[in-house]
Amino acid sequence: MEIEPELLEILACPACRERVDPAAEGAGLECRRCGLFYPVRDGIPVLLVEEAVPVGPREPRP
Amino acid sequence: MTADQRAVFFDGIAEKWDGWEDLARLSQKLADGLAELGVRPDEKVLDVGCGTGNLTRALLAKLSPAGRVVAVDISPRMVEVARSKISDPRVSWHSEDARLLPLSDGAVDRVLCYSVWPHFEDRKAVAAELGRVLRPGGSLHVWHLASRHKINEIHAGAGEAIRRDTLPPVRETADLLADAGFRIATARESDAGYLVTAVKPER
Repeated sequence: MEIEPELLEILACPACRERVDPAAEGAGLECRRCGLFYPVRDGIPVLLVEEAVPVGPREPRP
Repeated sequence: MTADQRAVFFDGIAEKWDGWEDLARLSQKLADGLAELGVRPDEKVLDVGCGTGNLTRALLAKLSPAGRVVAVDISPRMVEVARSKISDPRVSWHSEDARLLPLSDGAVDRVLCYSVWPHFEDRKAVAAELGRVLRPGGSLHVWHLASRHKINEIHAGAGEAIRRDTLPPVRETADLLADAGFRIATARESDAGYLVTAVKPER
């Protein structure tokens, strides 16, 4: 399930409170700064640090 | 009791909750209440302690296609029940602790703490976090549709995890929110309910 863009705009990474983006791969959101992948399960973005999967920091978008 | 123990407790009663409510009557009372609170159609509203989603649904009925609801509950099972009742792209669902919300600063226009305030153990931390995610000029409501006495009586007779969760007098809640930097707009309680409205000052 897609996350509404307006909702995505206000969501933040619970670890650093920077914005999260749709993940490059897989159903989830990611924080590029922390390099954490947050799964979206049944339409619920699980924004919990304990449930996040490290994917390694990525370059910020230009 | 800790937040985790409360989550387990509410997980355990999630399926039963709506059976204890008169849903038709509740939905009317919530709709009337939201009109009185001055919820505007295009707002982004945080529903913290969304439970089985009855307020979430009342909010969605008030909001336009541009409005949004961020619904949060510490109990994952409660969120599941709410989601099974409501399918609406304007909502995002989260199971989180109110002390650490996955929202950016100033993200929402309004915060509703409906029937949840007694369950926050560290109200100072919650107030600070709610103040962070609220935009300047936005309102926070601590709201109940029953008297403080009734609510405290129900909790006193409930499970161990929430037995000592008490709703303080409105004056105490107002003082706590004022200390957290809010301006108090309303603080009233009666046999019919409890409402403290606090406004985050404009910068």
